[in-house]
Amino acid sequence: MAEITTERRPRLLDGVRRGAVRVATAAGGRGGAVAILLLLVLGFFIATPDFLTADNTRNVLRQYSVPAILAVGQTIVIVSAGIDLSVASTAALSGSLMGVAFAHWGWPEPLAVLLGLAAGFAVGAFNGFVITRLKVPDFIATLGTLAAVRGVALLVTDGLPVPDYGRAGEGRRVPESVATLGADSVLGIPLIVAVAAACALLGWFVLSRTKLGRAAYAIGGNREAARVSGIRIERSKFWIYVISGLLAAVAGMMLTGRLASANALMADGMELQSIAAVVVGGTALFGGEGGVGGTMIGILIIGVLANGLSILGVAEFWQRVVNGLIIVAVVALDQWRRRAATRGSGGLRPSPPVDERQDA
Amino acid sequence: MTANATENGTPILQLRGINKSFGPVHVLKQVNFAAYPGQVTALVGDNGAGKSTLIKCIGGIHPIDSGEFLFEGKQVTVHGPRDASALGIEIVYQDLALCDNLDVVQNMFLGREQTTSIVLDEASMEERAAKTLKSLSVRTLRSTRQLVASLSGGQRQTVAIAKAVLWNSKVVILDEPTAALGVAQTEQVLALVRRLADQGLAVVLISHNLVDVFQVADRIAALYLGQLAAEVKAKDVRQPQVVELITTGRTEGVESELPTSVDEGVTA
Ligand SMILES: Nc1ncnc2c1ncn2[C@@H]1O[C@H](COP(=O)(O)OP(=O)(O)OP(=O)(O)O)[C@@H](O)[C@H]1O
Ligand SMILES: [Mg+2]
Repeated sequence: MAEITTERRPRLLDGVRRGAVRVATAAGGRGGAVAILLLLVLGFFIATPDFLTADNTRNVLRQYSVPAILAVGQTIVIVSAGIDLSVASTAALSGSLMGVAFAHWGWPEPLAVLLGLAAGFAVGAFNGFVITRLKVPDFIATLGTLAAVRGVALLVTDGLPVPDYGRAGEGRRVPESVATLGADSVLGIPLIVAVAAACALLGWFVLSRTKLGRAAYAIGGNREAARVSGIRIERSKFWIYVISGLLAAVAGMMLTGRLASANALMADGMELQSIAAVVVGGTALFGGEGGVGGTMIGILIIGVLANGLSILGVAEFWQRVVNGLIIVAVVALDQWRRRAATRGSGGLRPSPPVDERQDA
Repeated sequence: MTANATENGTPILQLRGINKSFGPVHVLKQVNFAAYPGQVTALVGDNGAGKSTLIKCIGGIHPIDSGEFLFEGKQVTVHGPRDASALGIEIVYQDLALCDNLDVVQNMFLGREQTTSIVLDEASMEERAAKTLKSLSVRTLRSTRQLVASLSGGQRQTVAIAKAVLWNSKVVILDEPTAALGVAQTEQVLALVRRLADQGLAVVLISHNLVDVFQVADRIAALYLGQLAAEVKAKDVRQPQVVELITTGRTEGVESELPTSVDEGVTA
């Protein structure tokens, strides 16, 4: 069907289509996302003078640093054809545990921070264990930890915000270093943005410069080929989930620093935001392609859209609707690009030799 | 067999009495197989005879149910692809096992990337890949940084072979390496197979094309319904005899390893 309509399509339209495909496939398939981001920025810039100001830009970046950190881990996981639904819960647990240890238990600051990181490591390792050893599908395993880890966070905090003044030690709120990184700025740049950038850089390094990253792409691209090539799939996946857990811990502690308080229910829904950022950024959910750069564009699209809409006074309920629809639209556009590239002469043919081998 | 073994020296790779079942399906039955340094051993047999299964057992993709696996005269156990490559066994699988989303260099070094400390050493991998491709006189590739998805069937085949010969291995096994190739490329691959053997490697070649087999093979092993029908020197048999071995499991003038009644062997 599609083939036939393509052939009948008038020349001009075909040319337009090809041009659009070329734009969209530029920058490693990220051209589409970049174009949408630029369009959004341009649109809001024209619509309101309050959008493209230094203050508002800082505001967006600060606000979306935490989901950006989660999305970095999520990118690595999704490239390897997995998914981590537990990142937001893990962030809440890490922030809460750190807060409770520091404010209520009176732990020294470094130990409290270490405990937060350890919580992220533990959840990641648990996910990795359940997925690789107990062979539970990634989606189900992390859906389980999504719920369970929230529960642990509620247990740790008794469901109350941390610090709870009844129990907090004298003058103890959140660790100094975390508060500084989460809320302060240097030379006009919020430190939390720098932390997010550092995490993104780390994620980019892991994915594109290490054996683990190469393994992630191979597992996502052709699991069987990865296996017979000697890639240790189980081990690789385990460490990928550990990295995701650790990044979630950093995100949770940064959020705690930004809010100057933690609670078991914070970062609610951010796992979906992180997945959306990855997908909007051009990483296919079935794995094997994409990268941290695209994800950062993705998170910016989500952030700019939400921010612009609220500056324009669009009601919060409507914002949710638009937010959801734009995710679907961007991915639909991406799918269309893939199909178009497959039909055209692009380098994205899925598996060409099949027919050719039958001919031989 | 025994006479041949002494005549050829010791096999570098030897399997004795290999059995392999997938659930109720008994795919390999008491298979004996050997590969000798400096020789091309052709493994022939009809579709479904168990050729690919046998080499997947050698490569550690499938665990064997019973039987002995000897390498350089010593008994070994191969638990996975890493064990096989550690011994010096490289295999080009029938489905090639390439990642479409990675480029040529990335595929050739997959699972064995070179690093400086923890950073991938792309430059030296690219250089080595290019050198290997050149030594195989591959000129059809535009770039070693091309995605494998964009390659033709023959080019993919070449990359898979290059991936196997990259590692200075002792045994190279090729599962139908010429199936996707045109005339010229087939000749190239066969010449390469011969060259590898002449360099002292033990080469195992699986092929349905008996002309190709007779062109390069020193020895021919025929599988029939999961059993080794015969293992003979190529110069001792003629093509019709091999056809008969493949289709019936036995032929006049060649001593068959099969039990006296083939049917018995099959139902057992
Ligand atoms: N993973 C598996 N699970 C179940 N049965 C299998 C599996 N792999 C192979 N078989 C069966 O084992 C038998 C031998 O298959 P194999 O692929 O080894 O044949 P082959 O000799 O390589 O054939 P061809 O020439 O067509 O490649 C077939 O009957 C096949 O259905
Ligand atoms: Mg086969």
